[in-house]
Amino acid sequence: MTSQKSSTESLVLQSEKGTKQNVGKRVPRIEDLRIVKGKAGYTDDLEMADQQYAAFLFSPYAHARIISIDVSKALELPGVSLVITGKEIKELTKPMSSRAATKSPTSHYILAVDKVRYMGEPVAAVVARNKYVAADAAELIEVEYEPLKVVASIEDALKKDAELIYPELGTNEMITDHFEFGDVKKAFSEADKIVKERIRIQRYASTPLETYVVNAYYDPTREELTVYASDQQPGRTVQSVERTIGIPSSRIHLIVPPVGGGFGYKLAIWQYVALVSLMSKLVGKPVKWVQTRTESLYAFHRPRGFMDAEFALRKDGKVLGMKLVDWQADANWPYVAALYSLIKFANMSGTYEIRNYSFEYHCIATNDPPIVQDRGVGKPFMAFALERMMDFSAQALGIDRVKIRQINSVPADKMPYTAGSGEVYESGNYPEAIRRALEHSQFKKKLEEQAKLRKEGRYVGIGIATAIEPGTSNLGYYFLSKAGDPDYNGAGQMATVEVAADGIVKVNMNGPEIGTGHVTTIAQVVADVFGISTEEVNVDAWYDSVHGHLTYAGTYSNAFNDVYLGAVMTAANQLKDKILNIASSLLRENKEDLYLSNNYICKLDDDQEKRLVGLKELAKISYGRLLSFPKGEEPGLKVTAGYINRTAKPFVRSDFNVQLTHSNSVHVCFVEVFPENWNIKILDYAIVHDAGNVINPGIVEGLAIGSTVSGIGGALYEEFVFDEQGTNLSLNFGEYLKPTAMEAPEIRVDQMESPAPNTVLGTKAVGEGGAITSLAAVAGAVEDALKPFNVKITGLPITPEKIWNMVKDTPEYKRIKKEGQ
Amino acid sequence: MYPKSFEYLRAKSVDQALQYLKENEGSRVIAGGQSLVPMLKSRLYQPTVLVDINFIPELREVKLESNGDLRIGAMVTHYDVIENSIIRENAPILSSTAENIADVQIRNRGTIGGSICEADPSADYLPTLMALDARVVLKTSESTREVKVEDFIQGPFETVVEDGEMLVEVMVPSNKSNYRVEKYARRKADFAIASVAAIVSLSKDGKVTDARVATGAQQDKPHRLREIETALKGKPSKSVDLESIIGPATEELEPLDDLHGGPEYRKYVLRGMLSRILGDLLSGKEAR
Amino acid sequence: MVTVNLKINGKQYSEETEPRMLLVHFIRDVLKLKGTHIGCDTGHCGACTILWDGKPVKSCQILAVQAEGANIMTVEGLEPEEGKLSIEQESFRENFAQQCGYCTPGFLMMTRYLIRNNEEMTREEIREKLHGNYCMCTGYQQIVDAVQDAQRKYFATKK
Repeated sequence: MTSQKSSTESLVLQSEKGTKQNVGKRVPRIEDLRIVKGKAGYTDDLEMADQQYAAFLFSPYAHARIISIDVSKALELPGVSLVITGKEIKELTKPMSSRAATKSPTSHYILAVDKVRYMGEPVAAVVARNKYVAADAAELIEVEYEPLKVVASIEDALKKDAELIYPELGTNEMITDHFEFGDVKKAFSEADKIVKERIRIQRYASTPLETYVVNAYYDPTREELTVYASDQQPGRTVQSVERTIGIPSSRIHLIVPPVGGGFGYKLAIWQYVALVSLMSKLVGKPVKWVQTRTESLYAFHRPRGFMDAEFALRKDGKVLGMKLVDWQADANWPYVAALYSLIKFANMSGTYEIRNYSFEYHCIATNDPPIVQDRGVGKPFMAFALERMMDFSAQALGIDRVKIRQINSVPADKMPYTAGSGEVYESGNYPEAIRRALEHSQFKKKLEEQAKLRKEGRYVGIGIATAIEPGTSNLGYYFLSKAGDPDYNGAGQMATVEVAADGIVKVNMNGPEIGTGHVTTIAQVVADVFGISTEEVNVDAWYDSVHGHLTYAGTYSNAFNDVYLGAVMTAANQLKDKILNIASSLLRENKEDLYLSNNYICKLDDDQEKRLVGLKELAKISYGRLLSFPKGEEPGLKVTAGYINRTAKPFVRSDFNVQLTHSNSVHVCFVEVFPENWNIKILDYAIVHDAGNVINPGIVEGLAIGSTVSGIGGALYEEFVFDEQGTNLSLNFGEYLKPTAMEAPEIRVDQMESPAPNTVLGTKAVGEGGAITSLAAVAGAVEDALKPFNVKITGLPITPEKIWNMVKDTPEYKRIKKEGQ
Repeated sequence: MYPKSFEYLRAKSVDQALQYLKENEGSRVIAGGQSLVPMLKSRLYQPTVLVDINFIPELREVKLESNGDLRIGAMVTHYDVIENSIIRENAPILSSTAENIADVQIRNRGTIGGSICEADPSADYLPTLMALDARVVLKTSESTREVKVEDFIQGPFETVVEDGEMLVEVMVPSNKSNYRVEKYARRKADFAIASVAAIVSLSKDGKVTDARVATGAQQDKPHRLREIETALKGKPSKSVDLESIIGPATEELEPLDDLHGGPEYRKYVLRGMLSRILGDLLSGKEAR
Repeated sequence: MVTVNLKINGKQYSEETEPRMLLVHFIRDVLKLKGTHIGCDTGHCGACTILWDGKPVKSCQILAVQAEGANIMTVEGLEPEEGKLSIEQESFRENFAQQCGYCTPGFLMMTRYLIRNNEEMTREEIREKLHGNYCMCTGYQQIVDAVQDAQRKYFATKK
């Protein structure tokens, strides 16, 4: 990893004479041709013959023992064919296990058995002839609960006499560990100043507009399960379904039609894939379940928690060291406990050169509902905490907040940079990104404007944040705190490229299409390899487990631009090589003289392109006219190739990398706060985003803007609120506030390109940067606007009411109220 | 989200609707359905019989009486309240109020009658209609009565409508005076944290000849702030000390407490709105 | 069961339904027009937006039986002819106004209505008129671009 040479350049060098260039162009998306006609074909758009429908009954209690369940009335309802409860589940399925946590409960099933642990946990399920009857039947199930003491917070969970979520484990602390890199003690002993703060994060979530949809049919004659699901990580789902309901993975045919938004939410669908599949097996008919919005808001959010952060500072602003203690209420579902903490190693020191740090984490089971790896997982909170600490440090030292970021940035000449824990920042230029952000946002002008408006009594503020946007999961970090070898990893994928018998170039990336433009991006890349136009590349938007795939296949962790493109490029280049071999043999030409252009195998004759044979003709020979097919090659023009990003390290506690590519952004946010109601308005939002080489600027810009608005939602609007009984009070979009077009600001994106040297095309992470960087930029801006009140923002979302509560006892407040009279 | 079964009766005339209501105990009228259908879906509300009044043309009429009063049919949509030239001209505050309701799609389907009967404490129309001294016409198959909107609303989601009775018309006295109608919510379609409808008339010499101020989203039902009205009436607009009026007049309020805002904050927002809005109206600033 | 007669995208339908069936389910499950989506169940998100007598309404907030005699247009009715995109569809595609595309039919129906029934809209006005439609992917900016673009194209056809 020494070269920083543009990989696009090498692609250009590889590609053939006379071919079109699609990579780097704003090519309109191919998938949109179906989308704008209403013909995208999402999972809920498909039906099977004799389709039956499932409905679930969800727990109204956050913590209760199930005394009895009476299903007789539901079963009597005409059209109902099945009702199942925890009793059957205990007999027919195996419990879930923990992935990262050292402890695994024995009572954690895909449907509640004997006890419920969160409001919205499924306790029974029905199958009926249509959705309406299924809902009627679910309503007729009678459950007797005995409420248990609710564990409503981390503090509650740790009390001596706390009710245990999983009594068999003897504790609510599911996992804890301590890591130290460099010499933290020395750093703190040499510090001129120590800044300490508790920084909080609320429960919030990406809420894709399409909910979970599962449609399963277990065919008893073939003993095979065919299941359609809006699933983001189908490779893992296949494994989990096998583990819980016992159908061998080789007999599970999982298909994922285009997904109506993923954002991590759809990583947790597998529980319902298992349940619906089991129900289909029991009734012998296809069963479909479409989750309602309220059901989708019950669970699978980001966890709430807090981080105690302590910075050792030199008086010039240099961060000598940091101590971080992370507390997350993320262990109701031990299956995913600790994920939010562990992934923080990917961006723990951000864009900064901080050599000495310690990280301690505690993952606590409460009656908060299960979590999921929502857009960026723990990284948005890590960046929020780090960037808030940078602002607090600057304030404590009396130095400029931009300057403190510049002083601590990893210098460009130190790239690639290995962070203390072993994370390798393979590319990027952080000081340059800040410089460009100051220019792009007209930072200086904004400061002048602010000074002027402040004099007029207006509260405007500027916030700046810089952050890493890691991509591609070296997933084995789940095993950092427990013994054993990881049996899964996200550092590789498989893809299939073929020239079909009719001469059409087809690609299947063997991963779900979740709306991030993969079809078009792949078409651009493959078109360049084959010298054709993007419209001529037929990219399948469906995942189908019968195609080659790795066990953790899925569209997650910002990995597409690395491992999926790597697999597609590998397969495409292998196929091209094969085509040229066949052509060379058939035509008795030197392979080196041949190239592909416009669906022909060509060569240059006196600098003139000469078409020797069409791809269509070659396909005919390769698939059918086998007597003409050259010796030494296998017939057919289909290649399934696997790809591994080899920079993934094995896991050693002192030196590991959590993720493999590292994009980065700088956000500058300009806000005004209005004292009549303390409402916040974003006046301007500027982003410098470096995601390496860009294949399609229209797609990349859209993801940068979209992910930023999702972060703005978290910063200003979104929170799942629970009462002391653990009741989720935010179960529709009137209570759980998403930003609409009116709340979203106009965002200006300046795209920088520092190519990743460790990916095939120099591309890197794209989809999470806004969600990671925006929280701190917005918080910093609001705090800056409220500077006259001297308030400190350490938690989100920043609501007008919270601001009012923060400012109302300050001297400035009293001054303006007095003046107003 | 799937409603429970119910019987559906489609009325073609007001008389038929009233007959249906009389004959079916526990029946309920469905107007635009923009609040009712979500309640049916969540099964929070499970009527056995629904009487649909969408197919009754007479309920969609807007008439201007010779005395200047408006008679607005129960099924007039929010869209029509905004666009209808008779309403715009004679009760412009009502048209402006409708603009604040929900979103484009819901305004196309939701109706003034349905919204009033919903009696939501944060509803948009109610403060305005109270400020206008509007009345509603309630009919049964036997009788007709008129009730002031202020008396019509009993509490949160509670009205004086009795079994077999239906709201057929809203009677709105013409009022072209200077006004403001505003709500504050986190997002535009959300229910208000505080809302104000205010109408102030000034004489040529700057005296307050009429003042009507109503608020929503503060208590269990919207209401007039009569203390403020009384304090303003007859005063020279320039000499009014608003703070000394607004403070005490809102002191006794016990605002709602929910996710969107606590009581103290709601009161704070209301006071800020009142102070700015009344300030504007007293200085004679025209709306928009 | 009640029979509902209605016109969708110019075609007359007559189908039986339970009174409790929502119009959006009727369109999707009975008539098999799958372009109209369900996103929130509570009337907030606008994914189910259709045009009813030319005006946008949310089809999950209406019972199918109430659509007796209605003249409805869904996203499937936008294409002026087979294989040709409408102004709205073309603008959404050219401006990258969709990512997952689940909300897009609702936004397209709004756009069809808004660009024809308003003077030239500013970006702020477009945002205000679209607040009843949620998009979880794009952050709305490219949607606003698309609506502006569509209106420009529409006005150009009127010149």
